[in-house]
Amino acid sequence: MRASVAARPLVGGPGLGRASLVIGAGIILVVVAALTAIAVGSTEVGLGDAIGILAQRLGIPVTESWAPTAPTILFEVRLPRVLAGIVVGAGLGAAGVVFQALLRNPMADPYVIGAAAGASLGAVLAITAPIILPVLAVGAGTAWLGIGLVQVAAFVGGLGAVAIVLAVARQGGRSSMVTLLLTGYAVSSLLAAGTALLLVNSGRAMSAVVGWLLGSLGGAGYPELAIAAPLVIGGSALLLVQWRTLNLLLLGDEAAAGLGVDLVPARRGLVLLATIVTSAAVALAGTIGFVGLVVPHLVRLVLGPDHRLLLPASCLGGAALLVTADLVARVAGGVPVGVVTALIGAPFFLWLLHRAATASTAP
Amino acid sequence: MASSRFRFLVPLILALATACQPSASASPSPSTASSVAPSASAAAEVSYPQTLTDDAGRQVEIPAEPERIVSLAPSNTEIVCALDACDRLVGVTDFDDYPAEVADVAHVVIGAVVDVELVVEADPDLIIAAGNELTPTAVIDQLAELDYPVLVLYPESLEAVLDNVELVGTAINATDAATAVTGDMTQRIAAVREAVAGEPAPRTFYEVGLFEGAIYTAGEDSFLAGMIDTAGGEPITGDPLTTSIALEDLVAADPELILLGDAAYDPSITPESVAVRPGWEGMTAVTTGNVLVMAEDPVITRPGPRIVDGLEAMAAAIHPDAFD
Amino acid sequence: MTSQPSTGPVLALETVTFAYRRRGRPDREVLRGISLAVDPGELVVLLGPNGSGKTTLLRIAMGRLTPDGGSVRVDGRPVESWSRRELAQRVAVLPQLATLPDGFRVEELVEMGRAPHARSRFGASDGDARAVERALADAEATDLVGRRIEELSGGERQRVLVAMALAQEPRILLLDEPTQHLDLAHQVALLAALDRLRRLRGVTVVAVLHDPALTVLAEPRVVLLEEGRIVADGPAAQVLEPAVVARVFGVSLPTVLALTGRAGGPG
Repeated sequence: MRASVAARPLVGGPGLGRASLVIGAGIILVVVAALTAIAVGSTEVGLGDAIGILAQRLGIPVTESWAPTAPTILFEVRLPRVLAGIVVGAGLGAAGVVFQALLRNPMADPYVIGAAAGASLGAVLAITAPIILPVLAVGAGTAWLGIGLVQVAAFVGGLGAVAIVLAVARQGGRSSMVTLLLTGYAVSSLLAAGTALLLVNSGRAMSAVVGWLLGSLGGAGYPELAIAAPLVIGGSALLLVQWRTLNLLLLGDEAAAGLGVDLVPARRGLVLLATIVTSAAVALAGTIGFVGLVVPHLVRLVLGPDHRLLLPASCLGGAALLVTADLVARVAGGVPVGVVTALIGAPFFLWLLHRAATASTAP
Repeated sequence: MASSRFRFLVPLILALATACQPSASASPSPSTASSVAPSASAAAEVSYPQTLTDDAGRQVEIPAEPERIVSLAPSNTEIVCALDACDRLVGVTDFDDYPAEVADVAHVVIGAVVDVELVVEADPDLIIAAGNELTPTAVIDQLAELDYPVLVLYPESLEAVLDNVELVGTAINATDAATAVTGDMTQRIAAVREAVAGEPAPRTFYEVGLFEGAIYTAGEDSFLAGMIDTAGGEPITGDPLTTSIALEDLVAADPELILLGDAAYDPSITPESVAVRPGWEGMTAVTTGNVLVMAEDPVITRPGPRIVDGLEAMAAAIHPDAFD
Repeated sequence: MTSQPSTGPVLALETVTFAYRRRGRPDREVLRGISLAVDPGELVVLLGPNGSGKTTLLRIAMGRLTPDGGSVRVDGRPVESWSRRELAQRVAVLPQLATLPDGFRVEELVEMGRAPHARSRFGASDGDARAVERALADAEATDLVGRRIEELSGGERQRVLVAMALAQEPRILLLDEPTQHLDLAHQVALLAALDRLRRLRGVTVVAVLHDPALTVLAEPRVVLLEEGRIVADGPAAQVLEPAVVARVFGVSLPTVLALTGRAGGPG
């Protein structure tokens, strides 16, 4: 058959060669970004010191050329931050892809159906409750599993908000994706109003609240990472193997069902996983914007819409972008990382809209 | 950093933080009782390791006499220097301007953002932070996790500033100097109290700042309100949480004296500009010409040893006749 | 998972009734007691005016809608007893409102048809590759390989959709208006391909068509629906009597054939 020559190597999707090339390039990108972020900071401590210290710890004799504080700066201050950037960026990238596919809406991001609004309310409640209700002050300082109450409240808030959205959307009969989107918007607005109410009454905690809402990787230490990283990485991995379902969902409900997708449980599982990933990421770093929206679009432009590549590449792209953005934020003297991602993300998004507009008006 | 914050909010937050040093109920552990105890035997050598309770109610273990101190607030810097330990400072904020010696010390707080990496590089053996979210809780936690002793100062009253001096004195083994400083402060506070005793207390409004249409002043039961009271005025206070007061409440309270703390930083704020603000023109303070610039605002809102200078300036503004 | 090809009908509907529930208004009855048995390898064309229940009938046959009354059996078992995936291994559907997402290449989309048979979490097997090749050839879409969906014309997209359904290697192929978007030449070619599929691969084909004229090409069994009932069922030549067509469609068959430029009968 004449088809055999042309079709044979193409069948199997992107092919192992292209896939490993893309994933390999993505990993290199993340590693380069991470090494740069570890090497650069407000002190002179650099990559050479890092290599020397690592070599020494591995028992290789090296002359100690670094300052006594260098190990702490590298491994206790910079590294957890970089790791948090990788974990949060990867999680937001994966969750963004999933929500865009599920809702078949290019404007969708991981926060679209309420995870961010719920997590914010939870975190702000945890920050301000001791001030508004002094009785609660006793619990606020305590750590639970080494994690602050704020992180736990954010995670629970994110999951809770999405649970409410799903329940309300189903009340309206068949929970179509449009209903879900609109319900998510309404519930998010309601929760955001609650957050704003707490914010204006937060008094002395205002700077803590504002800082949390803007998002930051600086608060993430190893104890927080130890809880959030498995949730984000495990959840993302489970999403990665759902690439086939996500592809089929792009075909529309009827076609996806005809190809064996059990729509309701499949969607529920995807929403649940993406929400766990999002809530854990938000609990770790606050509501960092644009990564979950822009990275999937960027990757789609370069690699196409096949989720077999789109998902892992968005994980890697999100990690690289967030680590880089946080580096810029640090070098710029403590600008919130969410501001940097928005500064990169918003112009890109405008360009994307412009491109889409010109494409559709072209003959 | 966890300390990344809206830069433009910084001045406001700084102002709010002092203006609303809140009532004791909001603090898990008021400093008054816990931190004075170690200084009872002030003359005695402090022995290390020692464990102190700070103003955030934290148990802080200090393993040895601190030789490398990082101060994360100008008021803390002033306390350390008042104890003749200025040379032990290895890191301060870029807001620090007193005493002159600190100009040479490395900055670890840039634009009100604590750069944790710079703190680590300074290699401190004691970090003195500010409560009230001036040093964000997240940063305090992060530094504590890096095993630095972090002493959080968070005075809620004039007397608590004295306690803070004693607490730092104990922490850095400078109890004699601390006793001398607090003795002087105690004396001067007593003198102010004596001078204003029996005088009628005018209804006094202290303007911390105007921001986005809101008027910020001393919060109810706040540090600043307590200072006004000690200086012989009757403070007109704002909401205990937001420290803001609605214009109509201010009009209803009808201040007899308006002190412009914000005029110390913004020359466009003058008694004349206040007189033409809509709604302000009928206030007794405005009609009687009792609107004064408080150029001493930096020491009034900075809870260090010089707070007494601020108190004296405030008392002199409220009761000019008593201080001639 | 390999089901023994059962003797008897591969698709059997027994007095199926269905009504769409409407809030505040009487239910809209769509199917009023449909009984239909389709044998393996049959080519069945469902004809009827808009609103006669053709699409609903297909959705019930594929298990997307549950009938109010009656039963549906696929491959000898009640349709609801199959899992979605098992059903997709047996029944392929070409829905009326299929959207093809931009950015995919033709062969990537056709490979999606292999989803119900996928064993690996990660890629396609050689068997999948062969099935995709065969499906592309059967749908006359091999020449489209390598092109992106957004570059294709409506007719080319339709051929890709057909290839996707064929890649599913179903026992039953349900098609809802497969000839829309196709020019006349491709309409004819598609029906010829479906007929060939039936003869060579033994696939049962049930297609909804809106144009009675097309049925003269492939000599199918024609089931004529009107207001939720089967009013005629049999060979095309027998069912499509001018009188019946005139009554059901409101136009005369000679007019229809004349309009499409083919006044002659089959053959």
